[in-house]
Amino acid sequence: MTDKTDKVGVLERWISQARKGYFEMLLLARLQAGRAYGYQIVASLKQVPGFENLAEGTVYPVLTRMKNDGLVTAEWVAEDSGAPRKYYTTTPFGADVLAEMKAIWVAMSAALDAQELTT
Amino acid sequence: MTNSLAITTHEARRLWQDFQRRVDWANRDLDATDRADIRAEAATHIRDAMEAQTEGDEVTRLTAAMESYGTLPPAPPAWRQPLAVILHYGSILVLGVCGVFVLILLHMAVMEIFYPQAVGLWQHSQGDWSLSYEAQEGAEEILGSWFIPSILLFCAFVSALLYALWRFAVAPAGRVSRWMKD
Repeated sequence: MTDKTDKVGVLERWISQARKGYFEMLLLARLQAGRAYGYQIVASLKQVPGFENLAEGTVYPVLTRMKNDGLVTAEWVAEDSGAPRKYYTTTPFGADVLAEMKAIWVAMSAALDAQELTT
Repeated sequence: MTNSLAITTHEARRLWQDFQRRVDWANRDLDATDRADIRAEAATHIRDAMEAQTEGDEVTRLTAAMESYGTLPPAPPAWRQPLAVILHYGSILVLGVCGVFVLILLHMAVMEIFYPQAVGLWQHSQGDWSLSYEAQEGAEEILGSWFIPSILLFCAFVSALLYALWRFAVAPAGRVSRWMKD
């Protein structure tokens, strides 16, 4: 194994794990911008670096878990154009959790920039 | 909530039904309501994805939409669950019958201590064998003093088999019980 392949492998593993960590935060951030249904959420997420090749179906079990945790609410809405769609909205609890997540994110970023970890 | 996808061709219908089974299988750990909701959402999602594609026939657009949805594990064959139910309840029956048989044999082993001339495995003059609590006229007892160790060994062997069967087909964490829920 060359150094390059090793680096690629390590990064791929790290990115895969990091993506799982970001996932709920990104979903909450998207829904805080306004209510949305699954396909819209996926389309938004695919704009985020690292999520271009997102397996679209992975969103739904996570949204279901978030709904059960009280982070979002879901409601089937009949559309004029066709079959009903399930719209998701953040709850006040979800907004609070997102604010905490962002604070942790900012603190982590600041720690990396300030090289606090080296002291 | 139920939501269906309007499909016109036979091949697309086959692909769609297989996809729905895979979606259900992938979300088998969720409760029935959540599974039904995700199935309905998948239908809406695939319809949106197909509408977003302008090129290709129905099968091509459906295949592309399903590929974007992600890799889903293949669902088990439809016959597995009914087979699991038959195996589960059939095994309970076997365990009950064989369990009683083992208890009878153990009882015979105990009684052999008190009635060594009567209890035993007998071979008749016609060649037939019988296990009996009573001495058989014209028959020869073939195990003699080896009756108790032989019975105990046999019971241990059968009990081990029954335990393995219980673990496989009856225990809540066993493979057959899991197949029944899937």
